[in-house]
Amino acid sequence: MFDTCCVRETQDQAWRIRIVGVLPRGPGLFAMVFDQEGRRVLAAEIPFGTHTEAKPFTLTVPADGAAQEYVIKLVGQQDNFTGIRLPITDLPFEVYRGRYFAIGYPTAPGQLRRVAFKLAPGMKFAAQGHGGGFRILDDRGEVVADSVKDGPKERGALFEPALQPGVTYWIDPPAIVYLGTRDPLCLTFDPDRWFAPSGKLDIDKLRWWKGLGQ
Amino acid sequence: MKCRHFAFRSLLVPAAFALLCPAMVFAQPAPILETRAAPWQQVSATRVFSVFPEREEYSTLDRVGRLVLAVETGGGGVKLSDLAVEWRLARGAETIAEQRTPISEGLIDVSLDLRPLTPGRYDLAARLMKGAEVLVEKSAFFRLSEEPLPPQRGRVPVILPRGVPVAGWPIQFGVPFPKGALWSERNIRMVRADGTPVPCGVTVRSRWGHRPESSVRWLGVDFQPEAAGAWWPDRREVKYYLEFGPEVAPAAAPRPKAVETPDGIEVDAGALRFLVRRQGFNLLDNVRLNGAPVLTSTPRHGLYLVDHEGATYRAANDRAVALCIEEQTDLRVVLRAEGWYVKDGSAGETLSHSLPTDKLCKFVTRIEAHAGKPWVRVLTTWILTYDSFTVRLRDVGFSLPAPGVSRAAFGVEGAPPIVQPVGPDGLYLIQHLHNAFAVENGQGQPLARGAHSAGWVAADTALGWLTLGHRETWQRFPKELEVLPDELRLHIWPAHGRLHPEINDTARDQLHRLWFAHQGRELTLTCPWRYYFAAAEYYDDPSTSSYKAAGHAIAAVHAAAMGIGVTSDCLIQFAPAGAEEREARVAAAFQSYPHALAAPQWTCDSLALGWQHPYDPERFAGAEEIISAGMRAYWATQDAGGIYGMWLYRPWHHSAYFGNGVWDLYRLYNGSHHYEAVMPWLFYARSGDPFYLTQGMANLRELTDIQITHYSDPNYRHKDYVSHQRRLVGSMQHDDCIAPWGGDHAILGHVTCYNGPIMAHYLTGDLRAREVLVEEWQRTLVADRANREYVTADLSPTVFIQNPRNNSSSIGEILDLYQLTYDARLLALLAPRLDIYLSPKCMGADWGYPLHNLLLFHGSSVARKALLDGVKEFAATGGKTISPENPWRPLHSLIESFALAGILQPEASYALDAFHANDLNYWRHWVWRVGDLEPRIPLCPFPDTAIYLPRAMGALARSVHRDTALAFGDFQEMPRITGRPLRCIVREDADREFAVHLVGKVKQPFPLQVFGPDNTLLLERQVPAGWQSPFTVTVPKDGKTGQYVLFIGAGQPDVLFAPVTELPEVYVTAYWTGNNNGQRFFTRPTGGTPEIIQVQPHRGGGAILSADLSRTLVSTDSGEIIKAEIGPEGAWVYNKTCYIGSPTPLILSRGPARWFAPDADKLDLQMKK
Repeated sequence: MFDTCCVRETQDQAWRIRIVGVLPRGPGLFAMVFDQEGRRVLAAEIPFGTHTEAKPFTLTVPADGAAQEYVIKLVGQQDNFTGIRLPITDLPFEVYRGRYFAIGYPTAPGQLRRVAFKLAPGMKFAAQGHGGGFRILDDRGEVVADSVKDGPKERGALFEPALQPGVTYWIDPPAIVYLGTRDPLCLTFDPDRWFAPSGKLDIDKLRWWKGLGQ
Repeated sequence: MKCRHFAFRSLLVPAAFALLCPAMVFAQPAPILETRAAPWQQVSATRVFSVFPEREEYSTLDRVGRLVLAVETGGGGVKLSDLAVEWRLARGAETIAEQRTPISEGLIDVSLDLRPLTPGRYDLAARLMKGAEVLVEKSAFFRLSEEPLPPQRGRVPVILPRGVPVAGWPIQFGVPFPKGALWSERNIRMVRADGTPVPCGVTVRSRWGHRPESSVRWLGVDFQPEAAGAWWPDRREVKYYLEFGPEVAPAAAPRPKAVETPDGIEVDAGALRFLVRRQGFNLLDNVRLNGAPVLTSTPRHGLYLVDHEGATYRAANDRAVALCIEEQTDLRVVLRAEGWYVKDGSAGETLSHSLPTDKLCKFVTRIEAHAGKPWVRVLTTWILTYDSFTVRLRDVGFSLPAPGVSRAAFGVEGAPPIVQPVGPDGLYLIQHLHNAFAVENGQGQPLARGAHSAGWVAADTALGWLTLGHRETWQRFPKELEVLPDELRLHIWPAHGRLHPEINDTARDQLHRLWFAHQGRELTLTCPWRYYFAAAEYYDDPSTSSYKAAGHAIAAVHAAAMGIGVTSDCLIQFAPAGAEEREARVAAAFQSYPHALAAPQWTCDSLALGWQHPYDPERFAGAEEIISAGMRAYWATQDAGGIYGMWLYRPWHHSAYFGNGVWDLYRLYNGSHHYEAVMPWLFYARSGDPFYLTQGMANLRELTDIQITHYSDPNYRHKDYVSHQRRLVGSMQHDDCIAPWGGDHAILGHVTCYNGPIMAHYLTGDLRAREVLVEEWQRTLVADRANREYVTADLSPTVFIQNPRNNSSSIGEILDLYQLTYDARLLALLAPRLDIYLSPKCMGADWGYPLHNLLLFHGSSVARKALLDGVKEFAATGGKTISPENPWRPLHSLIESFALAGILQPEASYALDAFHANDLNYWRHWVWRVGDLEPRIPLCPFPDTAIYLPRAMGALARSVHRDTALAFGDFQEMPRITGRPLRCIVREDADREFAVHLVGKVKQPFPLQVFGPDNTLLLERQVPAGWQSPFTVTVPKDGKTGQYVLFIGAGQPDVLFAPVTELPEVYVTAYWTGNNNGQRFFTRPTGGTPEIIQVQPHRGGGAILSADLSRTLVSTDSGEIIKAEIGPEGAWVYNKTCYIGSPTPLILSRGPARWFAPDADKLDLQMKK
């Protein structure tokens, strides 16, 4: 679960948010898209119900004359987030940014979802798991850190393994874990889609909720 | 278990069947009246064995007692069918009774006859057995004490608070009786003041115990009084009395007849006869007025609704309507019908929360006929069973056949009715805003408009006049009354609904009004997303936390409305042609809701509402002002915010009115977070002030319709946003949502107040309230505990040290429900929760009525000791330490603990301490401020004080300190300033002894000096620190008259009330403090000619008010100098802030009657060093 998705165009284009999955609770989700200047280019409801691969719910962001990054902000109930299949756009780069994630929702019975990330240059990994520990694997599946074995025992302390910038790592949760990080982290399920947002738009500083109340 | 007198003998009780205990040879007659098995759900993961005597303290007035033995096996392979219980009741070494019985259903309910028992302690030992193996042993005890019978005959004054506008208007109300006073409901009669009997009907609403042998606690009474003026506010004339006594018999009454027939139930109420159909339920059919047919219905009439696709669903299509005679007295009969709205043309078999479905929404309809009356009251509840995210409705209502309608009259508040001919397309009145209605013809062309519909329409039909009334019509807008050439309709949701595009529904002063659910062609209960964004913008905080306003807005966006209801209170009148005027009077009388009460003194003395004190402004002026002005202030803030409409008329609020029509969105609407729902009913019963009846009835519908869930579809998986809870029948909404039907909810916990509807039922006989309490709440509590939603909604096992409110409140609620239904399973529910309550640090005395109910009903000695030890320690240590072993904790409403302690120990100072515990001086100012619509004053703390005030008054009135009640006055703090003694001058016109009472809290000791008329020091005392209740010095009769000067050395931190004597009394000061608690002092020119009075509140509000308090002469909100020319009539200086000053000393008093001009030498006199 996340609420902020960062995407990047490689060329100016119209692109789509494509929702597939089951959003079990009314009324669904609310989506906003901001360009890297902080302009809201789309605001729309995503209705609840089942959106199939054959009949996804789509929202189109028109071409705007610039190849740029966008931030997709979603608002709604947790169960509706967990029902969405990722990625949600048809852009080549898409990461899920935040300081707090619910990870480990099974994709199939008995399976747990691993999520990938890289550290941007100069960034350090510092996190704690609520509701359980987690392991960090490298791209070959080797364990490079284990928050239960290697992490601090004090309540509230952050787990800070030495990870290398630019290297793909995987977080491997044994169950659903709520992951809190000191610095915003960008996650992906597909390392090929990972990118480090430029930071031109800091959604945390944007009053993204303004102007939609009328 | 060994019995000294005889061997333990087995008595096997067949499960699920009552078994009268066979005669057993005891030393005294067998006390077992009955042993029953009852199903008790097995939900606990651990073994629980409860052995619970219903009370610890029985009196001889109780006559019967009860033991409940309940087990939950906790799994582990133990089956209920393998278990039995053995129990033995003994007095000392003597066995009184014993049994061994299987407990295959989980619960054994034993009724004991207390009459053969002698007073004393009785010990109960019980064992849970598996074969011969003892699994658990438990013990308990109760005491039986001798208590003299109260008077067995008497006259209960019956008051008519708002009078009776139409002679013979049928009134139903509740009369409480003290324990042991009335044993049979047949031994009563209603009489006029001159003793002439009049017919009445009665029904028992509650007894003092669980069996018919117990005396009557609440009696429902019907009668039809003559036209009368209002009893309130003069509180003098009593026109009726309810007499009771063994020899008393009721006057003959023309009892309505209700007969089951193959078609349904036929009712003969004298003037009116009608049929209520079971098949094809269409409200009324075959109606005859004095023998003449006036209404013949068809299956297309009656209750109906239309979904957003245009399909119509009717009650008459339901083939399985449950119809019964619910209640019958000598003057009234109530039929109850329950069923579904079933789609036209369908088989009525499929049920889905989304379309398509054959069945959409349920109804529970009560049809009430009164002896001799040509009208029928219809109380119908429409219950939403659908997913409000996918289903909308175009029309909800009911129709009555009205052949040959030629004209119609629509009632208008404060104006003559609007009379119009009825054309082929008909016409309608739509109340589309709370302050606007329109009358239009069938094409929508306007015919008339106005502000407030009077809620009725009369149609001139070929068969006479047919009138349809609906209570609180404009208040619960939108509503529509429609007249067609052959039909009359009430639209609970209009067929001709309209949008108001001119209203910006998410504007700051509109958002709380939930316009999305109150306007438009279709009823949609889906809150738009923009409500969330607007809230986020107004608070500049998008957080969806449950502690944020935007969080409560997004909770509304996600709030499902399944399970809420709307109850419509209607009157259908029949009259022959030419009776138009009388019909209008009757319709208006229905709107005014005439009602009766037992006299407040009788009600409070009965203890049926617990320890309460009747309205007593003569002795407790300040406390009564807090209650009265506070409740009206609450109402005023709602009016100021335009809080009207069918989904939000008279709820309660956690938060504050912000001014300019704006409400705080944080915890905007709550079910009853701070026990608010009990307030109007308690205050009504103890005063007879009809304002509370209006407030209570309005809230009753909001609470029991919209804020309690009535229906749950197990296939509906929706969860609330904040709490992740699904629907649970009988649960009450908390306040984490701006839609009153959403957010978190509970069935037990500090967030609930089912006691409000319980009181409402006792006082009004409202059967819908009882149904919600018993068939929904209680049913879930005792029979749906395995529901997985139960765990999250039952907060009662939750105890946080120092904050055990969830458990505490539940104890009170369960005991109140138990006294309504005496369902034995409630005691099994109570037992483990009571164990928690009586654990160290877990006894919250003052969230709801837990300790009160425990002491008064159950008689717990542990609770009593904990309370008395606790308040003693609290008083001794200034609240600093309470023994860690003591269950009692001082929580947020200490007034309740001290009031209860004062009742238990009337010789101690606790009753006085109760008046200090909650800063009543603050509350006095609070009610003024809220009433003045001062913004940002949270409302939730008000009930934390108000609901305990009547008890505190009662405690003081019963205590040895009762004479000091007057000393509290109206909780006005005296003017004072640190470092300068207050110069208080009193005038003695005739030589006498007089007392100086200092009442309040003293932080640091200070001197008190009294100088006589000759300016000599008469006495000097040091006033000690602590609560003074009161500190009294007596100035002896000294052979002199004149002015005495009192120097009172109190400082700013001290809170002392004025006046301090019974004499004319003034205070001379140029600068004083009120510690922000608001003071109003009277002053006038000393010379008899107009003078300029000038004051300056320090950086805050203040005013100069006219002598009669009706006008503000000058005011400031921010501390500017204010001045006004004041004549001999005088004026009030109103200080709202901490300090206030004047260029010259003012002569202040507590009112014109006490004011006098002091002699010059009294102003020069100095305190003796």
